[in-house]
Amino acid sequence: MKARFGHVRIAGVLGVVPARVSHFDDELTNFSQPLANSRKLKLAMGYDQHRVADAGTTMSDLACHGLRHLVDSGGIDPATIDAIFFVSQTPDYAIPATSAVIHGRFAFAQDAYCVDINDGCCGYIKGLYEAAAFLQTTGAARALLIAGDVLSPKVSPHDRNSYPLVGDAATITLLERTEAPSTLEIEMRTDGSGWDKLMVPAGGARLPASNATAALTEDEDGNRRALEHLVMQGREVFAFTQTVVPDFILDFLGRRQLAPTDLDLLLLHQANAFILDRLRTKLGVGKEQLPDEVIRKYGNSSSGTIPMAIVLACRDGRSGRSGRDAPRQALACGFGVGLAWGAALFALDGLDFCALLEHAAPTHTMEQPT
Amino acid sequence: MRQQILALLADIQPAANFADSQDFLEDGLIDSVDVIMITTALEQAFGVTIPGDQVTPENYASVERLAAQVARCGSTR
Repeated sequence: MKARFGHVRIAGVLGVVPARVSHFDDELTNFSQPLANSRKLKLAMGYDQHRVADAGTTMSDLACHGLRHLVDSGGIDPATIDAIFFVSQTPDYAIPATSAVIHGRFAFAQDAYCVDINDGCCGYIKGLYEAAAFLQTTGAARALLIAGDVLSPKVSPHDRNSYPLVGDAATITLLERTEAPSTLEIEMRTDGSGWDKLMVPAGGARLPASNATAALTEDEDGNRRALEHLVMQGREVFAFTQTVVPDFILDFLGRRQLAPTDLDLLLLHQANAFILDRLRTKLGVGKEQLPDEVIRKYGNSSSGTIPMAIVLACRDGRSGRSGRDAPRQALACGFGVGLAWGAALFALDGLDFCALLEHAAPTHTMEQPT
Repeated sequence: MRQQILALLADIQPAANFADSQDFLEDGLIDSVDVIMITTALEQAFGVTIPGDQVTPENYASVERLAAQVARCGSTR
């Protein structure tokens, strides 16, 4: 799939992370592998710290914390928002859509279009496409893209391959239709033959949750997890990230007469530090261009990692209204569950807001059905 | 180089008998996470950079394959 939008811009990005920081060193005894081995893995994988939501905190709690901040600070006026796109694999409920839950907590207009998209690591690219297509086809002015996951409850704390990587986060991106030219180019791919490479086997219609699916079992690598937990076929997924993904990026750029070194920022999905390190070498760029701060300090929040990377790269004002620097040309690339991968090329220029917030658990409220 | 690689492997998985295996993954001596640790250890020990697309099961099957991997990546040590 290819799309080119000529009058859409990213107007602001906000990240919201739980206040609770979990350190790998404090998790070592949760794993069955020898401590010395885990410490070696820490160095190899860049395991350090990640954000973990408290029990009961959901994506809408994080998102609404961020929206409240934006509304109170004048970053957005809910009445002027024409759509809410909610991209996540961890909705508040099976029914209804979380975009509706969020819509109900603020004074959004009734004709605001609300939709949930179930997607992970490539979800931000998909969300950008959906929001931009909405703005172009309807002539509407503003759309919110809320992306991220509270995935920690779905990952076994005894799974050394996955738990240290996962970080909970919600992000809010404001997209606006512009009068002046502002280009957003998007391409996406899917290989559904890899649907089972990253998955949570139980809890859906195919295998409903039960006592049996909640029971922990140990795999051949010594990781203990239940069928209700995320499981990843690491070897296959890694190979995908090192062959399909870099070839796709180079092809995407090459057809536009661009090389990775031409870009100011390569905002790649923050899968893990080892993967990003290899991709950096393959693409011939440095850490300044292809940062990994999100995975090292906050963790992998699926569709939330690219907007989190935007926040960390731009919150110092380099792309702010101060005008100190020229617009920065950025390539975002998401890849993972599906298997799906995609890229978006855009300029980061004069963001109206760009910040990172922490969410403390006591502020959330659990909604009860009426 | 062989002895150096065996020492490095033993440091990661002390209980495994790497010397007699021709397929570490198939024999259950290492998993995908061990592959990452081995890659990092080889890079530090031999001063090479191993490209991500070379981190394949075939290249991590035996001591000889690992030695070939290091040589391909330009080690002069």
